[in-house]
Amino acid sequence: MIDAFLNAITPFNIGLALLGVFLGTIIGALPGLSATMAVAVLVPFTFSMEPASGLIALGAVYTGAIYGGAYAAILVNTPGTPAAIATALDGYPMAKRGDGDLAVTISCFASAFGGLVGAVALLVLAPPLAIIALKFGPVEYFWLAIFGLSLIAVLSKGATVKGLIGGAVGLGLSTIGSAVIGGDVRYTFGTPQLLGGIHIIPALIGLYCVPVLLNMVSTKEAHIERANTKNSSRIGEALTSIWNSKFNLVRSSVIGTVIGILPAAGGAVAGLVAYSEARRSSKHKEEFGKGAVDGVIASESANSATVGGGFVPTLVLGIPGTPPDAIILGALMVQGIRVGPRLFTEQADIVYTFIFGLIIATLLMIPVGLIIGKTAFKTISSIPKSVLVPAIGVLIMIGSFAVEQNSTHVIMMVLLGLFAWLALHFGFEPSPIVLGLILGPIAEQGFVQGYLIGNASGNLMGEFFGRPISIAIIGFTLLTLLWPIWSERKSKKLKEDQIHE
Amino acid sequence: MNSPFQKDMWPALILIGVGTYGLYQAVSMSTFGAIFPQFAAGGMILGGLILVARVLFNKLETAKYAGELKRPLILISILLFWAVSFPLLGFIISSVISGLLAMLTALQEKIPLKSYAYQLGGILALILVIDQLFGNLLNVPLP
Repeated sequence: MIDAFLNAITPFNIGLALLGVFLGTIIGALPGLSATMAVAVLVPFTFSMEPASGLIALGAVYTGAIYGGAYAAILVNTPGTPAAIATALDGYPMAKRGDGDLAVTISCFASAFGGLVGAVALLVLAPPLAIIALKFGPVEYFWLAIFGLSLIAVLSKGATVKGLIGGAVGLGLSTIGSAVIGGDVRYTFGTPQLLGGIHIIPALIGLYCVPVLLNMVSTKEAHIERANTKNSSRIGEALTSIWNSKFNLVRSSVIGTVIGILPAAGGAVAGLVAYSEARRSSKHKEEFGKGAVDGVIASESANSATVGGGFVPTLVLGIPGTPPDAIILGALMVQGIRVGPRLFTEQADIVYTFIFGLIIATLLMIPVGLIIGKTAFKTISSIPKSVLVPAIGVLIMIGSFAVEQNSTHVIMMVLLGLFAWLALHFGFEPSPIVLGLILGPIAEQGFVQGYLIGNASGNLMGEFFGRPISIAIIGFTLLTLLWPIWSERKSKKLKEDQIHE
Repeated sequence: MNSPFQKDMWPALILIGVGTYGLYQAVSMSTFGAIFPQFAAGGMILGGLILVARVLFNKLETAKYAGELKRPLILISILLFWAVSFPLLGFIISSVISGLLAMLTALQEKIPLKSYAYQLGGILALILVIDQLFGNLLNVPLP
C-alpha cells in the first residue's frame, strides 16, 4: 500500500489529478454538460498512459465535474449536473441575498469532505460494502424512490397540495415514451422523437434555468447581490458554518457513500435524501429552501461521496454504480484490468494507486474550487443582465443539444421552461416536478419487477413489506412525512403552555 | 362560496383535463405499463379537484406576479425561435441573431454606444469560443 501511495504522489500523477479536477470542475459548471460527458470526452486521452495514471485522471475529472455542478446551481439556479439539484434549493437563495461567495466556498469544503469519506470507504471497506449493494433488489429501489418522493412534502414550502400535484405532473412526464418494462409506447402522440421520453438534462435546464432567465428580464433588480466583501471567499465563515454543522456533514457523506454504492441511484438521489435528512433533523427547518447553509452542506457532501461509493461495485463486482463509472469500467477493460473481487489482491498496485490518486484529487479540489469559485461569483455578480441573458441562452441551447446531439431536446427544453415559468406564476415550484421526473422510472421499474417476483413466489406482501432493508427505508419515509407534523404540533403545544404560564 | 373565476381555477381545469386524457390513454396500455400513468393521471385529477374546492370554499392567498410581462414573453419567443432555427441556420448564425435579440430585450436602460459594442463583442466571442470548444475539442458535431 505504501508503494501505491508513493506511486500516486509522483509529480506526473499529481499534475494529472490537478488538471483533471480543473477540467472536470469547468465542464461540470456548464449547464447540460454532465460528469458522464466530461469523463467520456477525456477517456481516449488516457489510453496511452499507465493504467493507474489514466484512472487517476478520469477519477479526478469525475470528482471535479460532480463538484462543478454546484456553481451553476448556486449562481444561476441551474444545477450544472443532476447531482446538484438539491444544492440549488438553498444555494441560489443564498446567492440572491448576497451570500453566493459563502455558498460556493461551503460547497467546496463540503464536497471535499464528502469526496474523502467516499474515497476512504472505497479504500477500507470496498469488499464488505459491495455485499450491501447485492442485497438491494427491485423492491428496495422502489422504496428508495418512494423515500425520495416523500421529499416533496419537504420541498413544498408551505404549499403541500401544489407540491404533491407537481410530483404527480413529474411522474406523468416520466411516463412519456417507451415503458421501462413491457415496452408500451405511452403519450408520444405518434412522434418518434418522444419515444425515448423526456431526457433529464434538457428537462433540468428548462425547468430551472428558463424561468430564471424570464424573471431576470422582468425587473430592473440585480440578478444576484454583488460581491461586496474584500475577501470574497469567506473561508473562515465557511469553515465555522461547516464546523457548526459537523454531524450533518458526516451523516450526509455516509448517506452519499451508501447511495453511491447502489447501482443506478447516483448523486441526484443521494443529494436529495441527504437534504431531506438534514432538514428533518434540523432545529431551523423553516430556513430550508430560503438559503440554509445546512442544505448546501448536505447536498454537496452527499453527491461528492457518491464518487468513491460508486467505485465500490464497479471495482469489486464489475457493476457500474453510475454512468461515469460505466465509462471508467470500459477504460479499465481497455487497459486490460479485470475487475472483480480478486482485483484488490491480483492488481493491488494499480487499484490502490488509483484510490490514493482519487484522495489526492479530492484534496486538490479545495484550492482549485476556491480559486474558480471566487472568480465565478465575482464575475457572475458583476456581469450586466444584457450580457448574462444571451450568455446563459447560448449555454442552455448548447447544453440541451450536446447531451445526445438532438435538436428536439432544445425545443423540449424551451417548452418545459415556458411550462415551468407559467407553473411558477400559479405557485407550483419546479423541484417536485423534477423529483417526479427523476424518481418515476426508478420507482416504476422497481415496483413492476418486485410485483412480478412477489407474484411468482406467491408472497407479494412479504416481497414488498417483509425485507429488512425495505422495512428500514419505509420507516425513514414515514419519519420524513410524519416528523414535520409531530414537531409542529409539539412546538404549538409548547407555545400554548408558555402562554398559559 | 367564492367566485369560480380565480387564478387557481385555470391550472385546476388543465390538471383535470390532462389527467382525464392520461387515464383514457392508459386504457389501451398493458397492465404493467398502465400502472404508473394511471397513478400520475389520478394524482393530477385529484389535485385538480382539491384546487377547485379550495377556489370555491377556501380563503385564497395566491401569489401575485411581480414584474412586467412584456419582456419575458418576448424573451420566450426569442428562445423558441432560437431552438427552432438552431438546426436550420446552424449554431453560429442562430445564436448571433437570437443572442442579439435577447441582449436588446434584457437592456432596461440606455447605455453608451461603447458599452453596447463591448457587450455585443463579448457575446460574439462567447459564441465563437463555444463553437470551437464543442466542435473541435469535445467532438460534438454542431449544426
